[in-house]
Parts: sequence; C-alpha cells; structure tokens
Amino acid sequence: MQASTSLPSAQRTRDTQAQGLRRAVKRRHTRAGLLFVSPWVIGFLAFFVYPFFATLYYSFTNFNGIQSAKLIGFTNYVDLFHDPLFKTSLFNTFYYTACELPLSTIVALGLALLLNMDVKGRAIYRTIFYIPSIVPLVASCLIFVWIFNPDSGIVNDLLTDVHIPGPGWFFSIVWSKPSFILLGLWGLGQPMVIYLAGLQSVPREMYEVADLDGARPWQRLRYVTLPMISPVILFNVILQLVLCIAYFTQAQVIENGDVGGPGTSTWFYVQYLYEQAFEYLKFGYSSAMAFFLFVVSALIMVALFKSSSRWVYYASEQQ
Amino acid sequence: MRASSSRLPNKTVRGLSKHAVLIVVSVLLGFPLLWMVLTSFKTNPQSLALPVVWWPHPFEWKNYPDFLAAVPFYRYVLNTLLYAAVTIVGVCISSSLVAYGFSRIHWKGRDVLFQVMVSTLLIPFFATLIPLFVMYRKFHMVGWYLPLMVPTFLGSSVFSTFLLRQFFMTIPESLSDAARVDGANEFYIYSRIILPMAKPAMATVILFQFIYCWNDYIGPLVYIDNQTWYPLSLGLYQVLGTYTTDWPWVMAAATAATAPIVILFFFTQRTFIKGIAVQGTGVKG
Amino acid sequence: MNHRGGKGTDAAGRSTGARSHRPNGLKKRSLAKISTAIATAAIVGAVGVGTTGVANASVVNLTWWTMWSGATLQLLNQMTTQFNKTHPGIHVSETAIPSSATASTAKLLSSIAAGDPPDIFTEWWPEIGEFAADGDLDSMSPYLTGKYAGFEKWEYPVAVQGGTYRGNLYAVPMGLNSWALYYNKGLLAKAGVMSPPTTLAQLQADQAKEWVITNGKVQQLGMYPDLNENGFLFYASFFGAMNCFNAAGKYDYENCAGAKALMNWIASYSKYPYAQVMALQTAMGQVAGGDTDIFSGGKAGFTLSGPWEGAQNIPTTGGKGLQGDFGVIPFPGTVGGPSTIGQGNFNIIPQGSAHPAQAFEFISWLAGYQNEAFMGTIDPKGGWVPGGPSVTKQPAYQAWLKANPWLGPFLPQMTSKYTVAPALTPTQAELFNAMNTATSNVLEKIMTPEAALKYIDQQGNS
Repeated sequence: MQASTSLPSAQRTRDTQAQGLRRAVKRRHTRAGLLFVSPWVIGFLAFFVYPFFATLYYSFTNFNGIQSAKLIGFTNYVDLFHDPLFKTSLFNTFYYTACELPLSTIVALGLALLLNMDVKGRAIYRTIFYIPSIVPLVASCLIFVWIFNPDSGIVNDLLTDVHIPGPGWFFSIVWSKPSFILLGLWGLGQPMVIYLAGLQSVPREMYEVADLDGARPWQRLRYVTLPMISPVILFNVILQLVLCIAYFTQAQVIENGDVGGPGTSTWFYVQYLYEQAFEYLKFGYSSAMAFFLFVVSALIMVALFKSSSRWVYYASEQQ
Repeated sequence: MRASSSRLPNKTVRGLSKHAVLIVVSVLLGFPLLWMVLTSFKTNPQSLALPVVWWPHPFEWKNYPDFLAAVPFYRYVLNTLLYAAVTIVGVCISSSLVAYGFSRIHWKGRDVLFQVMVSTLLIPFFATLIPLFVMYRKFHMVGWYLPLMVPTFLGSSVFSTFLLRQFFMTIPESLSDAARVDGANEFYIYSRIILPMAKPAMATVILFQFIYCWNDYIGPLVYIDNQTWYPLSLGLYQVLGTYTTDWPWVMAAATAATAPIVILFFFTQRTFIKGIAVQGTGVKG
Repeated sequence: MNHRGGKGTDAAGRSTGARSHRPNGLKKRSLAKISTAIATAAIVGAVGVGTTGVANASVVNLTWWTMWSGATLQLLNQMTTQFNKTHPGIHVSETAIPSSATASTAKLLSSIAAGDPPDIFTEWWPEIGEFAADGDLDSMSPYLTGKYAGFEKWEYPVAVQGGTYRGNLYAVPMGLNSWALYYNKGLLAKAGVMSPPTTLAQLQADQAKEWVITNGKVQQLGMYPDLNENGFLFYASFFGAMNCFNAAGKYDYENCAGAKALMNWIASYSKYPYAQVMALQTAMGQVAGGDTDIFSGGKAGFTLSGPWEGAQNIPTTGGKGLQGDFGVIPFPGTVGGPSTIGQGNFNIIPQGSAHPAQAFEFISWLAGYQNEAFMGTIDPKGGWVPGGPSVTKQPAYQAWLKANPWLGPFLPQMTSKYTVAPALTPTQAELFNAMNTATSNVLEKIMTPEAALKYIDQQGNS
C-alpha cells in the first residue's frame, strides 16, 4: 500500500538486522576463537605470568635467591649501564644475532631448495643434511672445536695445503665469533626441514603458470616460491631470533671454564646473566638483565611482525 | 618455443651437476659426523694423537658395550621415550587447537594475543627459573617430569603452535567459509577439514617434539631428582668425566644417541616433506 | 569437497554430531600413544621403585647430590654403599648431577629457594662464601658436640679455614687437594738440565729451554701458569698472595707485595703465544670439563697439579701412562718453604635440609672422621688427601705412598705454615673469577699486572 514510504524503514530494519547478525557472528567468532586458544591462556596464566612478573619485581630489588627482597628502585638498571661486561656481552650477542639471522635464513633456504630438486637418492641427501642438527649439542661442539683447532685441526691443515694461513678460530679474538656463527650454520637441519615442507606444499599450478609466462628460475624463486613460503620464512626468522638472543650452551661447552673465550670476545649475554644469578647470587641484577633483553627483543619481534604484513602472503587472508 | 636440441645429454648433465652440488654439500656437512663416528672406534690415546689420526687402528668395537655398561642406557632410552610420548600427545592436542584459534577464526585481539604468545619465548630460561621452580614446588610437581609434561597439554610449546598456525594460514579461507555456510561449527571444521589437510605439518611437529625431548637436558636436570629417571641426554653428560675423560666413549655415546633419530628420520621423511598438494586444487577464487 | 555436517548445535554452539566424530586417524594414534605411555609408565615405575630401595619408616633418608661423573662417580657409589651398610638407621641415596651440564648450581639454588633441598651437596668451593653469606647453608657448628667435639681439631687446619665463615663451620672437605710442580724428566734431560729446579729463577731458566715453537705453532712448552684454568689463585700460596686485605677489611691485592710478585711472574709468560697454547691444550682433550691435559700428553715440561694427575690420568701417548717419566717437587715459590692452596671438594648442608644432624654424621664420615680405615682405602683411588691427617697414617694409604714415591711432596705441604685457605667472603666467586680473567688477560697482554690487580680488587670488593 504505502510501498514507496515503507521502503526506507524496511531497509533500515534490514540494515539493523544485518548489523545485528554481523555482531552476532563476531561474538560467535570471538567466543570460538577464545575457546580454541583457551588451553594456551590457562597455561599462560598458570605457568608464565607469575614467574614473569616475579622476575620483573626482582629486578627492582636486591634479591639473593632466598631471603626476602628489598626494593632498591632502578639501581640495578643504572648499574647495568655502567657495567662494561654488560655492554660487551650485549654487543657480542647482538653481533652474533645480526650475522647469524640473515646467514642462517639464506643457508637453510638454500639447502632446502637443493633438497627439493628431483634427484635419485633424495632421501639419503636429506638425511645427511639433517643429521648435524640432531647430534647432541655437547658432542657437536666438541667435534667442531677439534676440527677447527688452529694447531692440529683438519680445517687449518687443508688451508695450509693451499697456502692460506689458517686463523685461530675459537682461540682468536677476531675469529671467535665467526667460528660460533659457522657452528650455527652447520646445524640448520630444523629450519631446513621446515622450509622443505613449505616448498613441497607450493601448488604445482603456480609453477606451471609461471612457466607458461616464460619465467626464468630466479624469477620463479622470487615471484612464486618465496611469497608462497613466506609464512614459513617469518616463522623461521622469529625462531632463529629467539635462539640467537638466548645463545648459551654452545658457548659454555666450548669455552670450558674460560668464560668469554679469548679476551671477552665470546662472552654472550645469557652467560653473563647466568653468572650473575647462579654464581654471584645477584638475582636482582640478573632479573634486570633479563628484562632489558626482553624489552629489546620484543621490540625487534614486533617490528618483524609489523613488517610481515608487507611481505608475508597468507592464503587464508587473501580475500 | 625453445629449439629442442638433443635433450638427452642436457638432462644427464643437469642431473650430474645436481648430484655434484649435493655431494659437495654432503661432504662439507658430513665430515664432522664422520669424525664423530670414527673417533668412537678409537682408543683414547689415538683420539688425542697429534697429528690427527683419522682411521682407527686398532678398531675398538668395545667402546660401545663399555659405554652401554657405564650408564643404564636402555633405561634412559625408555625414560626418554616416555617423556616424548606424553609430550607429543599434549602438543598435538593443545597446540593444534590453539593454532586453529589463532589462524582460522577472525576475532578482535587475535593477532595481538598471538604476538604476546610468541613473545613469551623471549625471556631466557634461567631468568625465571627460581620463581617458576618455587611455584612448581608449591603445586607438588617437582621431582619427576611433571613440570615438563603438564604444560604441553596447555599449549606451552609455542614453537609447535606457531608452526601449525603458519601452516593453517596457507589454507585458503574459502574452505572454511564454504563449510560454515553449510552449517558446520568451528570444531567440525578444525577436526574434519583443517587437521586432515595439515598432516605434513602435524607430522613435522611430532618429529620435532620427539627430537626436542630426545636432546633436552636442562629441564630434566633441574626438575628430576631420581637419576633412575634421567633421560638419555643426561647419560651423555654423565660420561664426561671430572678428572679424566674417555673421548671415544663420549663419541660413542653421541653416536648411540644420534643413530635412532637418524633412522627414524630417514624412514619417515616422506610423511611430512612430501606435502599433500591438495591445497590450491579446485579452489580458484 | 563438500563437507556437510553439524547436525544441530548444543548450548555451547558446538555441533553435537561432530563431538562424536573426532579426527579418526589422530584419535586412534593418540589412544595408542596414551595407552603405551601409561603401560610404560606403570612398568618403568614399578622397576624404578624397586631399584631405589625400600624406604623404611624408622630409617632417616638422606639425599646427596654430587656433581661428579665418570670413574669418580663409581668411587662415590662405593662410599655410599659402605656408609649405608655400617649405619642401619640412615640411608643415603645419591643423585649424580653432572657439572658439565652447567645447570647444576641452578638446580641446587632452586631447590633451596623452594624449601626442598637435598641434605648434602658437594660444592665447588668458590661458592661456599657466597652461599654462606646469603644464608643458603646450614651451619654445622651445632653438631660439634659429643663424639664430634674433637672434629675440627681432627681436621687439617686448612680444611677448617676453608670451611668457616664468621665463626661457623659451613663446609667439610671430602677430599683435599695438594698442589705441587710436576716435571717431565725426559723433556728436562733433552733440554740439557740434569736436576729439577729448586728456586724460582731456576724454574724460569729451565722451562725456557723446553719451548718448541715452529711456524707459530706450539709443539712443546715448558711451564705456563694458566693451564687448566689454574691461574693466579692456585699459585697464591707460593708467593704469599693468598688473602690480601687492607686495614678496612677490603681486598687489597694492588698493594700486596706477594700479589705483585705473583702477577709479575705471570706476566713474564706473556711473551709466549697464548692462543696457541690454549689451542694445544684443547687439542689434547681439555674440553667440556675434561682434564686430560698437555702434561699427561707429554707436551709440557712442567705443570702444577695434584696427586690425581699421576694417579688417574688415562695414558695419552703411546699407551704409556703418566709413569716413571715424571717427578714431583714442591713449587719453588718465594715464601720460605713448601706450601699449597687449601682447597678441595667440600660438602655442605643446604638451608632447609630435612635432617641436618644425620647429614653431618655422613659428611664427617666421608671426611674420614672415625672412618679412617675405610677412607684409607678409598682416598688413594681418588688421588685425594683426606680431610684429616690420621687417615694418611692408615696402612692402605701408607702403602700407596710407598708404592708411589713421587707423591712425596704432597702430604707434608698440608701442614706447612705457609699453607692457607682462601678466606670465605660474600664475594668469593667474584674474586676467583676476576683472578682467572686477570691471569688470562695478563697473558694475552690485554692488561698490565697493575691493572690486573686493580681489577681483582674492584671485583672482589663489589
């Protein structure tokens, strides 16, 4: 009857209904999402939150591990910035991270690309490439130390054969960090396998389309492969960041009591943290160190995630 | 259209050069392992002889039985398998659920919470150890593997969750949407659609969790009080002597600890590397 | 590709139909894994309980954490077994926490913080001062009554010194170390020296002749003060540089004559290539806590070490052990006679231990108190000096001394007036680490001796 005048209000009702529906869907999604992540949230609240904030609290105290802590304000943090060993260990860890992160990404990806090739005996090659990362850490450190021994190791033996003077590797102030970086590059089995799995799930049609367009190998790599495995690249980069900033065990094993290596060239951050906490019983100071590291690395991580919206392609987000 | 010159030699040359590169890299990565295995058959003086000796003579087979007698090897392997089995169950269940929530459903605050989760990796283990340990003690969990096992059922393996989330996000949204249109709820989509497609990713997670447990020693060292429950990783440290060390034993221990995983990996690699290329087929737009 | 499903939803919004349809493959695998896990746990648990021994209600159970591994650990097992046999009311169970795994101190401190520590712990001695000052240890002084009234007198004086903080006894050694100068007779003879040095100057001259450096690589060396990280501190007693405090009670190595002499002596070795010596040492197996070293490999003319060097070292050259080719002399220091640093492997009772009185009973027994006969047989196997001199009078120990005449210098040093233990202070660990760093920095020519001493003071007084 009043067809023309009833239309706007019906439209508004439909709009409100649509809005209500969207909100209901959103609520349902939020509920479902939270439900699915609830195991982690429970674990987070139960096992992470208290120790994390306790450590933050301790960083403002002179906690010695057993007696009740006395608040001393920002003294620990101020002392940090006057501590030459803090600066040295931070630099060493930063140097290691800055080198290892890009190198390990390139090497692991390169190895995965090699193993992705269609050759006979792939399984054997893959196994050989992978084994270094599963050898117990102590053993692989020892093996490396012997192989790279400047006096008697095989690497310097071979270098002398081609008339190159072999460097002091782990015993040289200049070469000690690069030696650790090399050790890290040897055991890249884990990121490599993950890249390989990623490479294998790139749909074949993508490559077929690229071939039809006349793409050359490096173009395939740049425009098909890398974007398709970008989620996995982000993953490996972040995990490698975590491993680099927490670098500890290998240095402890190789330095064998002479913490810091030649001079203080391989005194890493977490080694200093451990010494402050469990040798000097200065838990307040070590907690301040931990927090400083956390803040710095969290900033780097957030930056990485922010940048990822520009170079990471998720099939589930492209609508 | 490329001029088709005689294809056969090209293919062989290409094949050979591929093998050449692979062999070179294999040698570079593999010769430290060769050193490890060969040293495990040497006598201790020979393992330290200068200039270095590569091939052991005499060939000491008995380093292996000696090492197996020095630590309760089989018991330690059983302990490690138990540790791995329980945590694998925990990780498969909780990490896949959490990863699904962070990837296949769109809700406000999801990505921020995800980054919070990943940032929990940025606090070094030793920094929070004391309050964490005190807390576990209050829950009466210290002494056995409980502090290492229970959290895995509550999504503690951020590594696994993160990995699965990345894989889940490579599956086009249209699959989930189609199912939702058909009336399926999220759990159904999770269990009947997403999980089956993520078999390679799940297999990868299982393998890595297994390897993690196999080599993890700091957690067990701190939380286990009875050495009969030690995992194999600590057995290796027990062989490193205080005053003197028998290096071939150490290498034998390392080889014995590595060999089972090598075999495991060799025979199962297809499962997670040869992906199911289902993603992408039949889903155009 | 059609996925129909979800027949109806329950209150939580989840499909009731789907609840009974879990991912089949995964569920079956999970079930299989869970049941295997439970079965294994049951079997292994039963075995575990069986092997740890029956816990009797009337028996006091003590837990002992040790940081040894390898052959020494087996020695400790023998000791524990013997104690349990001869003390029916107490049962000691031992847990080996390999020190090479680094986290062992973290484990101890965590357990103390949580109020559930072991009853006895064998600690690396630099930590004792830190722990005692922070309240992490139970004092043993209350138990020095009755049959233990004469305990401290029974011990070597240096053992009491090394375990006492502010008048309370906190640590008792299980084995003491005595340090002397080993020399390789063959290398000495080859260098044209017929008898071992008796003065510091002679040592300097003799060792200089033994260095062989070709193409920048060290093939052989004479003496080097930082082998096995035994730097400044281990030579301190030979130079009177052990506990240098000023009037205000602060560390004052800068102004201590003995310390200056020692640091200058160390600096005299900075002309040798530090990195190459360390590389050679590592090549000889000195990695990851291993102590196989240059001397037992026949590549060093001199080394500072203890009785275990000769007693335990695995042969590293040509199948021959450290036999006959070597001799031992007291280090020719600048103080008036032989001496040694008083240190060793000390047992402590962590704060909060459940049975401190029984723990002390065990600890004193391990030291050899009223247990001389048994420890007289064990100490030779470990190459240890016992906690008290009466053990060394035991026939088994005397037989060991007689059979190995090179052991001569070690025992008399223990009671020399120049032998002194490092004082326990709250910054003991900082001090010792600083001394090690200072030693290597001076040898690497990164620090002058004066700067090194200043650094030690600064760290020790922090």
